Amino acid sequence: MYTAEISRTNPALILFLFDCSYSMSEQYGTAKMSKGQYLANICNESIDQIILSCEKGDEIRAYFEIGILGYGEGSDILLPIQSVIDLANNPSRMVSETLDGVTVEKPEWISDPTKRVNTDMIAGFRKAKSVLADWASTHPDSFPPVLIHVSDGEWTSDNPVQTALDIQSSVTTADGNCLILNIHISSEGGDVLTYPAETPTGSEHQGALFGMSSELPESFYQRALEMYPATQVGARGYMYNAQPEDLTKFFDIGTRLRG
Amino acid sequence: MTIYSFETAKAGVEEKNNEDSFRIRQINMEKTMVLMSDGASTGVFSKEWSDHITNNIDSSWLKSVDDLEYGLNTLRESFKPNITRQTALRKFLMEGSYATLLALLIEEDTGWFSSKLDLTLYSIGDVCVFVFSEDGSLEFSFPYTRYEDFNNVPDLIRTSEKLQKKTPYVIKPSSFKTSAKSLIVVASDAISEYLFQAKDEGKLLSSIEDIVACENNENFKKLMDIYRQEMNMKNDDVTVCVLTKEPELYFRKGVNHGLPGA
Repeated sequence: MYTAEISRTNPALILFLFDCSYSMSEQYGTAKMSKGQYLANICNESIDQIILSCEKGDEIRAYFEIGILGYGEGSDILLPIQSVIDLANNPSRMVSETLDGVTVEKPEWISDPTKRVNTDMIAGFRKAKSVLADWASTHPDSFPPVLIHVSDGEWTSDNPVQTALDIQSSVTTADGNCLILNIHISSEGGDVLTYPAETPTGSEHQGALFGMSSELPESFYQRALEMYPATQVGARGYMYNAQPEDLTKFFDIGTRLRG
Repeated sequence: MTIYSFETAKAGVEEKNNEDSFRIRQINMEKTMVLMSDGASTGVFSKEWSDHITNNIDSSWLKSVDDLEYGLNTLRESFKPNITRQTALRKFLMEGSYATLLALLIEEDTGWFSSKLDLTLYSIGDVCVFVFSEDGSLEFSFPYTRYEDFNNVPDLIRTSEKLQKKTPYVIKPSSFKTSAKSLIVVASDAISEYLFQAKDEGKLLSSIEDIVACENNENFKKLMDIYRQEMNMKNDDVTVCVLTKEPELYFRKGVNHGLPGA
């Protein structure tokens, strides 16, 4: 399980689910930006890394499909599921950066999606469940879809944990069940956590987001161990106030650093 | 010398995207240079980089580790891939390209009563050389000597000087003197790993014979698909070159497939 090679024939899906509620407009810790802006940065950086991992020089290979959902008052599709090739060709804007003294154009796809609304997190997970199930049914041999949820964890609707667990148990491919990773960005402070194996002792929201996070499959666990050597057996896909490392490191895109 | 060579891309990948590069150059009547480079598939312009390496290495660089290192540095400077898109440019600037290398110089030392082959070898990474004696036994392998050696991440030649300083490679030199009747096999990493497995099962030479019996790349691709599916061989690009002056000593029949890239 969780060993399917990601290829153009069997691409993988990464679906982002973003909290666009009022609380995400608050300042994020000591960063000079809102949580919503931070979320947008994580997303743009992750999509960029995924596209770069598919870049071979002469072409971009369609190893991944990516989509973004948001929730606040109900749920929205912020970016429909599309291949990395379409994403690379259609950014919403380009920003300049300098690499090795060369000025290059870096793409971005979303800006701060925050709206001044409630936090209907369960609506977001329900929408995600439907989107993920549709995708899995048309990609039965692919690596299982991965849902990356970014939130400050403070829902105002019904508790969404059971819906998230339903996604894990019901959305499957031949290679395993859907994986849910939670990136918890909070202004409450507390210790930074990366892929803990035990329930955090902090707030109720920490416990809930940890509880709905998938246990890392062996291949993900090994990569997490490379990135964070303190990762323990039984680690879950949960991060608290941590800068997510290159998410593409989790995925076996062909062979890794072999000739 | 009779030369058999075969290559195929990893399963599910078009042949044109095979990132291995293999060249043989006849330096003079006595001297032949064999170069095999394996472009890392996670990099950018891997095929172009492995081709650039094998196309441009000069046999004079195989005099010493220092000469080869100097030469490879000049290759880094002269590598100018045709970059037409921003994503490719950014990845090239951030990560560059990387590849492994096996360089083998075969010199024939002809005497009155018997002739010998002097082998000079340099390795960066995990492309392997196997040398068999007339009785079919493996008398030398380089740089790896056993299946378990493939657990290590191979050294890589990188186009980015900055990244190369961060993760420097080691050029492993070696030399070996053998009979002119010996059989020499140069193989990229996945098939080398498989061959060491076959060695442990006592099937090494018969595996080489199966490869030679393929006669063309189409049959070779079918054989590699069988190895992948039934023998657990890693799904990777595969290149094999077999050289011998005495094919009838080792194989049921000998077929010369010519010199690729000569």
